[in-house]
This record gives sequence, structure tokens and C-alpha cells, in this order.
Amino acid sequence: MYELNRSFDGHGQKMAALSEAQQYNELDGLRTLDPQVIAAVYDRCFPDVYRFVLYRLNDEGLAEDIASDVFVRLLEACKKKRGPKKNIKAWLLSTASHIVTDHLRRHYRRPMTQLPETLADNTEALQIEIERSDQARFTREALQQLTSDQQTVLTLRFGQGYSLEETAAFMKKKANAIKALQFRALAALRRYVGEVENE
Amino acid sequence: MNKKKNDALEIICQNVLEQGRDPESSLAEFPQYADELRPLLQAAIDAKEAVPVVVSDEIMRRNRARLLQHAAQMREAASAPRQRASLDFRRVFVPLALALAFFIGGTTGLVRASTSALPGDGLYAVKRGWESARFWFSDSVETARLETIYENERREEVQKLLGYGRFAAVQFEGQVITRDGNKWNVAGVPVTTSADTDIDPSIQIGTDVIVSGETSDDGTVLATSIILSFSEDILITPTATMNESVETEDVPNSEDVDDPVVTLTPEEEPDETGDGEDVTESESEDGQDTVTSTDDGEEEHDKSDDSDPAIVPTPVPDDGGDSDDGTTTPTPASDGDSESGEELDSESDDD
Repeated sequence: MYELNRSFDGHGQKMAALSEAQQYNELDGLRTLDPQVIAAVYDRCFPDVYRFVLYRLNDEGLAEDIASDVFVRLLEACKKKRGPKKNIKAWLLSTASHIVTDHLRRHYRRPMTQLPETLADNTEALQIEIERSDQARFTREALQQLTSDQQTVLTLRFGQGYSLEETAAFMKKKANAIKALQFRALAALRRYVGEVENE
Repeated sequence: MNKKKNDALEIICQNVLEQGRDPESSLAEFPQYADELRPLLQAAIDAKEAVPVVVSDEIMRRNRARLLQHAAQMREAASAPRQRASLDFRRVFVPLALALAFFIGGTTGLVRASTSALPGDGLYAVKRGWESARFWFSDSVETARLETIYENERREEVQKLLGYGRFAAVQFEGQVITRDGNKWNVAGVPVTTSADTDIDPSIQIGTDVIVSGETSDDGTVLATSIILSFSEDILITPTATMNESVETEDVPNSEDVDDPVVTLTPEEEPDETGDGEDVTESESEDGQDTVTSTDDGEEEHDKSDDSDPAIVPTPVPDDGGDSDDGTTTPTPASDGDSESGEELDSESDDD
């Protein structure tokens, strides 16, 4: 069984996996609302949760709110002894996934974020940055057109940097199924990006 | 064939995205699929770059403070019943004794005279006693109003003491505005810390705190402790006269807190057992997802369902949907295969 304990810090650097003992210590600390443990869990997991939600919803403010809400739910679940039993990160991402799904169900399609039409400064560097920003925007908009599973597999593989096996464990699928799903997701993303760019 | 293509894509993605190898040289290792996989590799690169890797320090700091504040409120709410007994005792007997004394002695003039008293003054105890007595005669709404008034009063007292250059033990509440080394500004009051100051490590700029200490001759409060303030409703009591526990009766519980975070599905909690699933999902041999049933038996999806696949999510179970180990149960929506590449995959998962 693969564990999703490997994390990225706030600057995208991979962090070492936690030992089982460390996980249990963290869970104990969460149950007793130990501020140092809470801060440590937050620092380790928040970037992943935030990026996960941002990837799915393409809305920075909403991603921040939902990611924050996920951690509040973690504390309250731990207090009620209903929190994670061993894998905090997976619990957080699972909860985030549920909230995102619920949000999408309630709001159907979100309005797309608009970038400024033009900027006065047309230096080459700025042009490159705008093009990169546009491409990222096209991709995020296209991601919204994918199915939930397709979004999840791309979010975990390419947004979070999880391995094939970790993604399979998270989604409760076989590795080969993840490969197939990933193939279809990238093909669909490619097609939708083209549609978005042509709009 | 498709399995080999899937494998090739996975290997190429790993080479390029994880190991930083050149895309074309990676594609060249699979010449028979290169043309087909090139746009998919580009899509994978775009997908990786779609979201910034770095989460800004501002976002991290803001939400850390929010979370720790919430945790502090939860701790305070949990300990409130224990403190309430001593609180009730103080609320009932101390003000009653003071009110009785004032009544018998006809000393309302004394109360009026005490309104400008500062910590360390002889009449300051009368002032604080009268404040406590007012709480005793107040309902919850009035109590909240008075507490806000008296919090401001405590800060004004500290400012006056500093202005007069007087020394006194003080305690007040406020928001941390700036923090530069051992120089703090809490709600406009300059505060100095020392190596002996007990400081809650989770305090950030913007956090509501309770400062205890003494006014000093350098125009600042020399803090002995700076701790988290758990509630807007805390009644601040100068240590000069009140040694009782901090007022906590009106501390809101976690559900009552005016929390800026969104609560989209307040009843939704992940299910550690995963038993709460109202949808079952099966996976076909070729790795496609097929929703076969729901608890209410309303519908049955397969991959040909092309109606807005991303938001066809099956109802999320009220109690969540994660498993024993906390892993998620993916939302069993169609993955739109019928649109995207039915020719691309029909492989078995198990080979």
C-alpha cells in the first residue's frame, strides 16, 4: 500500500516521508489541539491541498478558502475522534476532493477568470510572461471541462507530482487503469485546450 | 497495443517531467508512437505548469493564523465548562458583596469618583468591582457590550499609565499590529519583550493576544506573557486587582465563530470506514470507470455518458467517503472517454 506522505514544501521541494511513529505523534497532537503539531501539519500539507483545489477550480480565492476549511474540518474531526487514523495527507486531499465535487455540483460551471486585455508595457519579457500566463489559463479552463476522474488524475500526477503508484492508491485503481485514464485525460485536455484557444 | 502506448506515455512523462530529459529524445525512444504521443506530452507539460508550484508566504501565513486561531477557540471552548464554576462563583458572590456594600454605605459617589482610577490607584479596586457588579445585573447582550467597553477601557488605562510614566501591573487584549524583534505594537500599545517573556509560538501579525506585564519608564509595557486571545468576548482583567481566571463564559464554540472560511458542505465528513458510499464504482478491464448503481437506484452511467462529465458527480456521501487509511473514493463520474479517445484505450489493466 502506498502512502501519500511525501509532500512538497511551500516552494515545491519534495519533503521526506514521515515515519509511522511520526504520523501517530501528529495524530495525537491534533487530537489534543497542540498548536505546534497543528502548525507542523499545516506547513507540511497546506501547499498540496491548496494546489489540489486550485488545480480543480481555477480560482485562487476559492482554493484558499476551501483549503483552509479542509484544515478546520481536520481539527474538528480529530476532536470528535472521526479524523484520519493514520494518513493525514490522504484524509485532507480526500476531504478537499469531496468539497470540490460538491462545489462543482452546486455551481455547475464557474465563470472563467478574465485577464486584463492589454498591458501598456510590451517588453519582450513581459510578452513571454503573458503568453505563459495565457497558456496556463487556457489549460486551467480546459481542465474544468474534463471529468472528475480525469481532473483528479492530472491533478495528482502533474499538479502534485505523485507517482503512478501513489495516484493509483489514492484513487483506488490499478496502476494500468491510471495509465489508461491518464492517456485519455491528456488527449481530452489537448483537445479542450485547442477549443479554448480558438474561442 | 494501447497498453504499450499507455506505458510509453508514462515513461516519456517520467523522463521529461520528473527527470528533466529532452522531450524529443524521450519521444525518439518510441518512434512508432512519437507522433501520437507528442501532443499528449505537451498537454502533460501544460498541465504541470498550469498551477504555480509555490504557494505564497502571504497565503501560508494568513491561513496558518486562521487555523491556529480556530484551534485556540476550540481549546478554550473545551475548557470553558471547567472554568465556569469558578466564574459563576465570582459573578455571584463578589459583585453581590460589593453591591451590598455600596448600597449599605450609600457610596455611589465613591463609584463615580473611581471611574478615572488607574491600575495601582486606591480606588481602582472599586472601579473594577463596580464593573463586575454591572456584569452581574446584565443579560448576555449587555454583557457582550460591556466586555467590549471594558476591553477598550483597559487599553486606555495602559496608555494613560504610559503617558504619566507610572509603573503598574497591567493586562490588556488587542491585535498584534507590528512585531520587530522584541518591539511589538499591540492595538496601538507599544510592548517590549524580554528573554523571560512567555510568548505563544503561534502568534502572528494580526493575531488577537492578551498581554500581561508592567508599564515601564521607556513608554512601553514590559510583557511577562503574550498569549493567544481565544475570543472577542474575553473580559480582560488587570492583574493588579483580579487574579481570577480569564472570563470565558461567552466564548463561542467552533460552530458559532465568525469564521471567514467557506463551509460548503458542513455536514460532510470523510468516512473513515468508507461505508457511507451511496455510489458504487466498478472499473472495467480497460481501466474505464463505470458507475453501476447508487443507493437510491436512480441511475446507471457508463463511459458513453457525455453530459458535462466533470460535474456529473455522484452524490457525495453525507459522512464523506474516504477509507480506513484516509484515501479518497474518487467521484464516479464518466471520464468522457466517448469524446476523447475511444480508439486510444481498450487495454486490459492486468497485463
